[in-house]
Amino acid sequence: MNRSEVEGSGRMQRLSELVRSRLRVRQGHENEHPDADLLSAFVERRLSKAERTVVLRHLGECPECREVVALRAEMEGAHPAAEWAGQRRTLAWWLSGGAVAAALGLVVMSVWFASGARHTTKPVAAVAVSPRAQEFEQDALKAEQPTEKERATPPARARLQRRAKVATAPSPKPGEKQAAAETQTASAPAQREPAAVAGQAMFETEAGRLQAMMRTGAPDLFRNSLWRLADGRLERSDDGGATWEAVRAGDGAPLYALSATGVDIWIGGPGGRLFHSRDNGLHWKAIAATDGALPLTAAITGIDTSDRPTIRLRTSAGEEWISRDRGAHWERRQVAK
Amino acid sequence: MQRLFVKSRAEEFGFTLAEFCAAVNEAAGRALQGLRSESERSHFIESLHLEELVLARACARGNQAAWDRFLLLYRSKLYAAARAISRDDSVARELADSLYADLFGTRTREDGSRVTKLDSYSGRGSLEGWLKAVLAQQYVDRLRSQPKMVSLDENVECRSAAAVGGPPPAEHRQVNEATDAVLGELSAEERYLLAAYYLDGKTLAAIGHTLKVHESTIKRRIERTMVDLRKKILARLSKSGITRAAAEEILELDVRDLEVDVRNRLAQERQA
Repeated sequence: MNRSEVEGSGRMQRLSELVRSRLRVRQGHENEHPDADLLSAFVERRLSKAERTVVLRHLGECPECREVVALRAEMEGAHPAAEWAGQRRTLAWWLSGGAVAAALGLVVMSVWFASGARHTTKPVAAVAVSPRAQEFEQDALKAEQPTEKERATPPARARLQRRAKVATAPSPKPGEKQAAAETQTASAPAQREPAAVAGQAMFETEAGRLQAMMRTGAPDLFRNSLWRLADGRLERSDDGGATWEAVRAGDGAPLYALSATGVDIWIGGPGGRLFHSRDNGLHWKAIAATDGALPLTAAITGIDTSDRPTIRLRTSAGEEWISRDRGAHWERRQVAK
Repeated sequence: MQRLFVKSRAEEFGFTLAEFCAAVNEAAGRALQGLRSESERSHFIESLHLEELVLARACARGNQAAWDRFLLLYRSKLYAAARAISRDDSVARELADSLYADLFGTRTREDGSRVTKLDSYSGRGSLEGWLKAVLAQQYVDRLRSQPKMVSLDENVECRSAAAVGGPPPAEHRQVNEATDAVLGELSAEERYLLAAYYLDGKTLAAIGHTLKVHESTIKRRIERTMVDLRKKILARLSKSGITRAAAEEILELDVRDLEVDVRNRLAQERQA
């Protein structure tokens, strides 16, 4: 539905302009704004009718609160009514015979192409774009993928295949390895984070692991690990996220922050708990961050290692703790408000 | 209250029943004053997100277990929400960290307790929703605090327009007055719809999403409101002595013609 459908043309468009100009005069004269809780409850439809009217009256004249409410609603995700509208439009399209006409047209076109260009291409266009054929194609793709059971118990063969793939991959030049590791760390969350674990840190560690393997020769480091925090526990997946196993790390306290770059894993939790592993989680070392005599006691809520060797910690007290030598010495900063 | 006390798990965070009642009364505050009957009041209290309210109050009191739970439940959601609003990782981090600092409280009162934003959560909506709304407020404030970039030409034009703008002709003033009066008679929802659609340029789908109704419903309501608006403006103009035909003619005019033609006047001034 576009704007011209509502505004129409001619006289209603002129009226729209008039309304727009008069509404503008009435905006921004409200001094008292509803608090965030009331605005959020409005979006969640938890207000009484009277309260809802009061909030709506304010929204009608306050552009800031309208924007807050719109942003808040945006974060709710798609509204079922909108999803149903999409489904209904698709259904209507099917029922209206549009699909039949489109399929017929495509068949005619494909026959025409086939007769005219017998030696160049096969007449597959109609099959490729038909929704039914797409379903078949998806089914076929599904059939090629491992079953739920296979995914739950990754066979040793799959692991070996992965190792073979890595082993046969062209080895990066020494100077490129570090850059590759860092680039991957920076881009991995945006590109690969699945919706199911949205908001949880997850890093692929291929390049860094190759480096470590060459250094230590430990075959365990070769695995294609993904990392995440789930319910405050550290978990690792060696099969691309199909299954996750808990990793013993720290002192049992819940964890809030994770950063993984190559085989270098940092985790943080309450009371300034900070742990570091240099070997992909095989061994852990507790780090006591202190700035002079002042120890880090607040909960660590974020770890940033993208600018190595500098490590940055964010804490629940609004502080930033920075180490420029991989955690040996720390400097505390109050984040400016 | 005893049942709600148990249900809210307040004891886990060191609340006594009396403290729990005080926290609920304080949070419900003004809303409770408007409710007369006991059943209305108890229904209202039942409708609050008490478990989340207790968690927020416990965090505000500096309870470490509460903070652990809060971070566990909301930390990743908060960052995800900040990213969704700002669509920029560095801005998202700044927004979320700034909110954390506000939630934790960087200032203290005279009695030594921290001033924390969590005190303002009253349990009406969900705690997660409240956090998102606070983030949205911070983002809007941040945008508003950034200086607007206006081109020099535009700026000069605006100032000139303000300088030469004289009082509008009488009939145009009547149209404006009639429109203002009719807009004033609209229901709160109708006014919100018009403002969101015509001023903010929101799509029908976005408005529908905010109000949790289908976009075609929003379309129908806006169209109906505009038709009513036109009728009422014409009626008011007729009442003020303008004939129906003249009133319709005025409404047919482009709104830009209803205002002072700044460009013509500027041109005339230059020639003079």
